[in-house]
Amino acid sequence: MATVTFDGASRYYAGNDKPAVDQLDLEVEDGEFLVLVGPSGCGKSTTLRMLAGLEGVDEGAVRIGERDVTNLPPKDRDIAMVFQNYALYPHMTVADNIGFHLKIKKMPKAERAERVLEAAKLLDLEPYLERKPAKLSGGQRQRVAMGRAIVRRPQVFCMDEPLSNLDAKLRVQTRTQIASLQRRLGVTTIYVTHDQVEAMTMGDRVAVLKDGLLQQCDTPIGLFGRPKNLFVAGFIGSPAMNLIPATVNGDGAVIGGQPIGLTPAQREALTSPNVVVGVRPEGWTLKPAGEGIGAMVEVVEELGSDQFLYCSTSAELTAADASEAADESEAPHTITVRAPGMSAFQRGEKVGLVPQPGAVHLFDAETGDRLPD
Amino acid sequence: MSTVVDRPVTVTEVDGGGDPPKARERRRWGLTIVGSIVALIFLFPYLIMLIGAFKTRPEILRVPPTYLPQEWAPSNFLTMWDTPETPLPANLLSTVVISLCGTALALLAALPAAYYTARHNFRLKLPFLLLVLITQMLQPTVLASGLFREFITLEINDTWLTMILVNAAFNLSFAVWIMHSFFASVPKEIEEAAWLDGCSRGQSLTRIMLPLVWPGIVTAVIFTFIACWNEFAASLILLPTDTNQPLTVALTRFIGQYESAWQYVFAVSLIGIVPVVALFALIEKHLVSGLTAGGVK
Amino acid sequence: MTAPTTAHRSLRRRARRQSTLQALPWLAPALILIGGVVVYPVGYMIYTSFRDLTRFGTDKGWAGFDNYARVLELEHLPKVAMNTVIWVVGVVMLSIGLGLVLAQFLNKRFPGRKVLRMVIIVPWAASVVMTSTVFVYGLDPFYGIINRALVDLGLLDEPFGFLKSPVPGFLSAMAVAVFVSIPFTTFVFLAGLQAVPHDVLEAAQIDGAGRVQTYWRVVFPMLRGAVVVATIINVINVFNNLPILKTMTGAIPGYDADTTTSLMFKIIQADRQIDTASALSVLNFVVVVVVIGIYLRVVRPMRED
Repeated sequence: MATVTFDGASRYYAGNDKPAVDQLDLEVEDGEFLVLVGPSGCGKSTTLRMLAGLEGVDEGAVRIGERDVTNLPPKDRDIAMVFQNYALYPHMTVADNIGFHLKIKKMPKAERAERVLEAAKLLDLEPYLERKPAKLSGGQRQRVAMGRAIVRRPQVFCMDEPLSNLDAKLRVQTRTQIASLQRRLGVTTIYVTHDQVEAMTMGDRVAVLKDGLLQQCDTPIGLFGRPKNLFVAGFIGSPAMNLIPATVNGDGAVIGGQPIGLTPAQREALTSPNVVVGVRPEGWTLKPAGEGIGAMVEVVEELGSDQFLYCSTSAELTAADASEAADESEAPHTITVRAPGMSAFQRGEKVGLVPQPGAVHLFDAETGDRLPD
Repeated sequence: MSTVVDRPVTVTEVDGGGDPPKARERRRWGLTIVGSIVALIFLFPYLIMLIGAFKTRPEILRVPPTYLPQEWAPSNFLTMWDTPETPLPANLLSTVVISLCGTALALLAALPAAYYTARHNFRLKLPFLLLVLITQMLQPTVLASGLFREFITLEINDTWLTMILVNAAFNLSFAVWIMHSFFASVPKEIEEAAWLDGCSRGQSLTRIMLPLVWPGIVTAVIFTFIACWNEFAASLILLPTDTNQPLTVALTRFIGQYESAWQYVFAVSLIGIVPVVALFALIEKHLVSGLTAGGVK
Repeated sequence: MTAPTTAHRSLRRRARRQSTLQALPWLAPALILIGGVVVYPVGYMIYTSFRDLTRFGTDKGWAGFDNYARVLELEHLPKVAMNTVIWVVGVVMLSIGLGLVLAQFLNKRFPGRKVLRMVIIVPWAASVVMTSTVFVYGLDPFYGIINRALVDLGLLDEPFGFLKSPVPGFLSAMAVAVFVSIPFTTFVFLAGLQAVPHDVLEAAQIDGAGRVQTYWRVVFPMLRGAVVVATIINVINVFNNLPILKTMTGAIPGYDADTTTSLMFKIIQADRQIDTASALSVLNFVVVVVVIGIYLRVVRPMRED
């Protein structure tokens, strides 16, 4: 087992002056499950492939434990990888697929068979050991790919969107299986996904990347509770956080007639009067029309356990006593609000929205950074 | 996802789907009749060849000609080996040796190039592939004078080696083309998985890639072999000595200005055609996928 | 970001040079073969096309464009050039047209389809010399079996010497060239047809397209890549084809049934004018390249639509 360290690691692609991964500093602890998440093209897969040795490191270094692996070929890094398309060897049986590494390492046949069987048992693959990959279902192929990784007992697991080819239900099932398997084996794991739900549910820590730059690396709770910037705030959480631009005037900002106070430290940190107020859908208290921000329910999305209301605000809906505080020129916003499941809200209904105390995130509109709490 | 060559769904007949089953069945057999006529058109020269090979010398020159031999002469296949026109055993040996060695040499040169260009990007990749393509546009007869001179300098003129080299070089492009597309159809990740599993480049090539592109290699080898086997024009110019000449050239020696031994022409032709048709039939299945992979998308 | 771009650029340049060096061992065998057997003779051909050579190969020095002038002044060149155009355009267009029909037919399901596919391969696999030799025999006016069949079928009144005079000889050779080109062409189109997704055809049906409309508006446009490949390869092969003309019309005196390729062969074999033949070869090659270039410009196979 080992730690993994990225030390100012960068990767450039031919014909592109902007690096795909830009001076990445990241420390993964021994046995940790770290998820790399971000939109497509953010450099998360490149990061993983740099660790695996499939992609060169143009600047900086990559270390596994104390070993500098920056210039080692993949075969000498003691890393196992699960690919998005599984990359099973089509001409080999499941058993041969799982045991291929051990065969290359010239492990005696009996011992190899034992190790393969052990891995197959762990993944319920025993009945399929003699089949070729083409005769397996998607979920079974995914498990073979997992088996090929765990049979090796490597120092690090790399997983590149291993669930993205499964259907939604199987994905949720396999998600928990992988997470619990990893905890049981205790192997340091780097997991790449574009799905923030996967990231939040599986990772000990989650690293958010965008345009090759590390945005924030924190526990799921830290990421959710204190996003460091606008990008992370908008990317993590589903439905996404409501981000409402406002102008600071005096002590605070006003959205839809509802004043939002700023502390002196926050006002100090602002680079311009423009601020973005972030409130998650579950951060609102629903009031009868006339209180708080006036809004009209446009769409009701019933999920059973929850209900999401997509509301639009506009000045004339705001309660009369607050309207003098409202900026007449303020554009209408769409705000997503979570209500308890099976609530009686109707399309066209007028409601009032009040942010819960502590649920307000404030960001500098110019730099995108979070203002101090 | 893990099958190597994902074949597109075959277009089967969509129309006629609404016909009652009996009408559809009748239509299909109608197609079979048309198909038989087409088959006959494509086979008739070879039927003439087959029948002619069994005619006696007087009969094959009879005016008017007979459709079927009145006297079957299988002895043609025995007597043709010893004629004043050409040393046929030596010609057959020439064809076999030149084809086998030419194919081996072409494969040896094409395989690494096809693999590397399918897997790696480098600055001279496009110029290289263009150079290979240009060889397809040329043909050896055009270059005969230069080749002749070069082979004299190397003191290998009028030997099998000349035609081995010529055949290998001029069939390289097709072999590279086919194998390149087969290599490219193997997902890159499969090879990366092999590297991570501890394979060196050589190991991943022999243990993973070659088994996966095997059909492509067989296709390329058979194509090259057939082209070498059938080569005519360059051999005609570059191999003046009759014992070095392949069957295709030897054949023309039976056709004289005034009198021709057609029965031998056809018997030799049959010997020349049957093996390559059999080989070609072996790869028939891969022809379509090979040509699809070759950029016909 | 702190991006010292020049450093990065040189880094990448070094990486690229390295990658070219790494490629060399893999490409070397192919490069040596092509260099020795293709590039050198091409160079020599271009060189001799500017030299004055005797019939026995003695080099009498620089000739400038004399050889090219001699080619262009050849009395029979206009006729031969015309023949070449008819030969290439006629054979390629007929092969493509018949290949399209045959591929469409072979793509249907009927008993015996597999056998038919095997049968169609035969002219492709068989040696072209051997195939054309059968026609030389069959079309003979005296003992030719095809001639007799045509008379027996009532298509001819008496046997005809197809290969005894230039025009019918040339047309017969074209027919044989089409015959041997069809199998390859058909299989290229068959490959193209199999890449047409089934759902597109169903979509066309749902959109109300008839069979003819479906073919011309949906299937044929998707075959464009296949048509381009088949055309280019056929143009090259047909243009360079020597065996058919050599065996079928080679005995006809004069140049009325010659293309530039068979003319070049005659200049080498009969006249032993290596220098003139080289000039003609260079011109031939330039013409092929230009024709293919123009063709690609016009059809633009890479166009996305």
